[in-house]
Amino acid sequence: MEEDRALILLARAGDERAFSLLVERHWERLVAVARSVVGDADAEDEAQESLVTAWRKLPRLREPDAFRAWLLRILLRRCLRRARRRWVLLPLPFAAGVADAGALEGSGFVAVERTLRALPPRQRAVMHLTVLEGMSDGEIGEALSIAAASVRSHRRRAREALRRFLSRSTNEGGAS
Amino acid sequence: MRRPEDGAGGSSFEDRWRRFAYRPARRPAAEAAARAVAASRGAPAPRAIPWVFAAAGALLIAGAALTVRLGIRPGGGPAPAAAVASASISSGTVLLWLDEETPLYMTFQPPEDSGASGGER
Repeated sequence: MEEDRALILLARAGDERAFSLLVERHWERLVAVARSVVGDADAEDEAQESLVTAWRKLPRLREPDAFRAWLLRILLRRCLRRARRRWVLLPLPFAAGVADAGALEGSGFVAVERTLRALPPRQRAVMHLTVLEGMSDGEIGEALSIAAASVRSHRRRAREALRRFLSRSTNEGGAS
Repeated sequence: MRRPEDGAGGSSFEDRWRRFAYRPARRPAAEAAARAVAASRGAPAPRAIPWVFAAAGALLIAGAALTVRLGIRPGGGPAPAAAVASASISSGTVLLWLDEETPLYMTFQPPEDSGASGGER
């Protein structure tokens, strides 16, 4: 954390090497969040564009300790905008290349994307940050610019939708 | 922090989701950082034109609001004298000027006075 702070201060002053080191620490997480919200096909592009915005706006970041949350907020804003524009997620094999399509089906990743598509974009984000990142309602609310109570409401609706979708998928799978 | 009720509807789905989201990115982090810096370097300066449009829009709205507030008619000047003279307005009547020579009268009548066009069935 302390090391992050030093890198942020250097990057804020325009040090490209420090920015690169910072990106190495946060890149995989950014892509992971983006995958859950916009799908695999667009995830890396959205994470990439978030970094462009972050690098441009970094000199204006006043509190270095807020970097992680600030970067996440930039990413989520982009991802939600993208997800609203293109509601349907591209099927995963499009992103990975046709040659990998069979392996992807076997991995269950296609089914994961299909399941996530059952949720509106904001609910996908709330569920990712809750389930996979273990963030608090306050932190999630800050990242999504909504109140903690809204986070709880989104999560409740998302859990219900997921439960319905998963039980329907299980029943259909069992029936066939 | 994580609570037991925060699950996503089944641990096997959650495991698969975690593996889906956190598998390594195809683009290395160093390349992503280099691209971000390069993109910022080549980016054009922010354009001022949208602000010009926004300012023009605000002026138009302000002008329209002022026009409505001051009761200025679309034609510009006051209504023609002849037209105004013939425009006797009784109570319950509203007069609107569609243009300089076209008055529009709207008369309101209470329901009991509406006669044949009334609502008796």
